[in-house]
Amino acid sequence: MIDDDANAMLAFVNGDGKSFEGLMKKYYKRILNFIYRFTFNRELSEDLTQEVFLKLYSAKDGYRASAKFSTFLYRIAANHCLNELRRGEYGVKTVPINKDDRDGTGRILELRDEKARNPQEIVEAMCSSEVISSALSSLPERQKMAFILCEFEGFSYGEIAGIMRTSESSVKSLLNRCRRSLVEKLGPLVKGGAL
Amino acid sequence: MKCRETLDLLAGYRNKTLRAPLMNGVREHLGSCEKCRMEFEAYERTVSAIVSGIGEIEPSPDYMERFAAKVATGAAQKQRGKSLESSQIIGKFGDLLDSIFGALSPQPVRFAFAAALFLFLGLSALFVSKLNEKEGEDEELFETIVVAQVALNADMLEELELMENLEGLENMELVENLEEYLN
Repeated sequence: MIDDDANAMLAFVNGDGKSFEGLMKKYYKRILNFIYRFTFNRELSEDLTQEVFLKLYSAKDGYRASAKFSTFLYRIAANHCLNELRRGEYGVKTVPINKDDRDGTGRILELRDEKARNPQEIVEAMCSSEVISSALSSLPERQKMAFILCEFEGFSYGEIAGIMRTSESSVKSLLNRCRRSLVEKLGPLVKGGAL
Repeated sequence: MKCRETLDLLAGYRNKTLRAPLMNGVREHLGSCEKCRMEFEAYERTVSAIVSGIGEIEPSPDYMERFAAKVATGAAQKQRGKSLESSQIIGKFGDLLDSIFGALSPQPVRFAFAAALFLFLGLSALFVSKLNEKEGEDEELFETIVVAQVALNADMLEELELMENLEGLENMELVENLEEYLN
């Protein structure tokens, strides 16, 4: 069964520009935040989101309403995001978490040796969102992608598998490894009330 | 449900997207296994902290205008690229014709050349269509040969099997003769 958004896309394919505008209004913020959670860079997220919608706009000639529209759109966004970041043009850098090891920009980008310091000391040196973005940035990209799609976007394992072009069992495995990693990195801070 | 399967499904259980039987299975397991329940609680706390810690950003107010400008620029570039391409081709063809016809200065010579060119193109088209027809006939003949070859091979296989069976029968006879001789 074709969903309403897929019908709107089909209307756009048949020349109804307003339908595309409607889809953009509905999904722009979602895609922007999806990409932002992956890159933690506002300007870059804006640029990539514009490019995702340009790709959607150009995809009208070959569009088939075979999958749920949101799955189709997130697949474009996930592919574009991964490809652009892999190209290195927008390389997301990481620096150590130690207070003395900041890179001069004040940005803390990697959790390292968190057990060696008191969680309270670490948190004193930085705000919680930076710790969280650091923990997420340290994940392998496919684990991070699966996590964002599951926990922020609310997709099921099957939908994530469709977006990432993989199997459901791979998604389960990615999310399980991601869970262990995040709990290991952030668990002590969360338990200590620092986050 | 076992611990391993439960741990694989904790994320889907948390965001409530598992199918009903799996949701029930995980719920039952967490009710009876303290270790898995602690794993789930730690994960839930961590995810809640992450979700509230990152928050959301708003699109820039002019995102729609920026997008419209990009579409317009892209369309204009595409159009310019197309017209440039076709004008270049037409221009080059025109140059070629100019150079040919320029060399044939008297008017009757030009007409004769144009007629010859027209005749040549017509005959070429006729020749190509005949060639395609012949290729079609050749393909039919080839298919017939292949079918006949397959049938022949099948016959040969049957004969081979028959011969193998005959050998078996001969051996049986040999064994029977040997038994008679021994008896």
